[in-house]
Amino acid sequence: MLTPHTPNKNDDLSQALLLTGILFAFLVGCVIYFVVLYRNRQVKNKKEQEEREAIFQQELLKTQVEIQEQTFEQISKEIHDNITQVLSFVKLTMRSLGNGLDEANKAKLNDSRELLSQTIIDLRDMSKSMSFEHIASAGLAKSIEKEVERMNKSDVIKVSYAISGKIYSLGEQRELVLFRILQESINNALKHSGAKHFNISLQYREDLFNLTLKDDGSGFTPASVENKSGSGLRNIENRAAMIGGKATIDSAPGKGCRVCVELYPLKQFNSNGATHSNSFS
Amino acid sequence: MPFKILAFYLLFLLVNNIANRYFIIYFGNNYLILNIETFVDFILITLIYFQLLTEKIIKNAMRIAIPIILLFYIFNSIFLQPVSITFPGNAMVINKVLFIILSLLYFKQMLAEPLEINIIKQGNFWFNIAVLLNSTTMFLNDYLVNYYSKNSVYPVVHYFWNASDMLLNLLLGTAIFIDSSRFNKKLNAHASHAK
Repeated sequence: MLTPHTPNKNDDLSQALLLTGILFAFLVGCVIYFVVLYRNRQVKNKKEQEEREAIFQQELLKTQVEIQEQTFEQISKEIHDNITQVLSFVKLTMRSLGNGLDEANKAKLNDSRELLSQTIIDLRDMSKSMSFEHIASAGLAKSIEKEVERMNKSDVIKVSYAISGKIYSLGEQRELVLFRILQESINNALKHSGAKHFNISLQYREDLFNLTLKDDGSGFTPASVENKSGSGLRNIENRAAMIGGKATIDSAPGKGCRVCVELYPLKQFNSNGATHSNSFS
Repeated sequence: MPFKILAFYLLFLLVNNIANRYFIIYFGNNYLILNIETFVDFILITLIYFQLLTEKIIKNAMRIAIPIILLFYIFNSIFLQPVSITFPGNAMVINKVLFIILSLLYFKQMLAEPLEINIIKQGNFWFNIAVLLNSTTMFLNDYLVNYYSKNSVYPVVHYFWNASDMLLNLLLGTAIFIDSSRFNKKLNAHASHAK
């Protein structure tokens, strides 16, 4: 015969313990789930923050380059439209003044006029090397050639220049940035290393473009320039990265400096703009 | 600031537990102590959450709800569950439900604005865990306290109640210890910035 089961205190105890155990396990499970979820959010947030910082740095660099280009453009225009015009007028005036002078003074005046002519030509070259429009219209190879001529004329440094492969356009923005990298390197060589020779090599391959700049200056250890935030070398690296390239800088004390910029011309560069625009914005 | 209140709360719990024993031995019940504990629990814990939660809607809701609930507690302790006769079951249940809601809201806020510090090293996390675990596990128990008392049923769950209380104290102590350590300087700076 079956007897009905009557609940006793032990049953109550086991039921209470079971329920409590289930509830507690559930809560602990929830807490563990929360911790995992929180950790994932932390990782995701960190990634997003890093991305935002990288974008910010890129934008900052773009703005700096834009401002620099605008300044260069203004100076270039000022030299071309104002200073060289005034100097040309002075040259003309000097020619008319020569008519009433004796031979000795006439010769002196002619020497001065020639110096003035040279200054006007130098200023025009400088204006062109600063102007975005001139670099864009002439192209990288031609602009570098002009710059080399200008530097060699100055006799401060001996610059050699070599091109290999078939020249193709890298796009105005990329070419401008590469040209500014070149100018920065020459500037560094003149200002800091006391170099006497400077080699420029352009290598055009179908899948890779390479710009190599070498000087025979005093060189440096990478650690000595690492902490200088405004360093021109860091500018070179940042600018190369901005156009989707990679700059490698090798140097050692007494062994000069070698800057190598590599670009993949077929790779789309992501600088918020097409490659054929006059602006970085 | 919230953790100064928490330190004060832990001190209160210590004094309260001693007084509890004293009242049971000398007066036969601890109704008065439980009533005081419920009031203080409500005021201090909601004050801590008021400082921790940053969302304006929640803060405004708390500004309105806290005085209303306080008035109800006073009404309850005079008319519905008089202080000297019965446990403040109604107030205790309201407390626990409110704490569960607040702790869940704070968990939501923590997820929305995760800090760089490891969560285990955040005092706020331990405080919130303490409140959530204690409130959920004690919720049913508090509600049945009067029933146990009236029917003289041996409350098995009271053992669990004590264990849960100990766990609460341990977790709150952990929260204060972590908050006072160097890890939480950053967290406090973030909290003050959020305000």
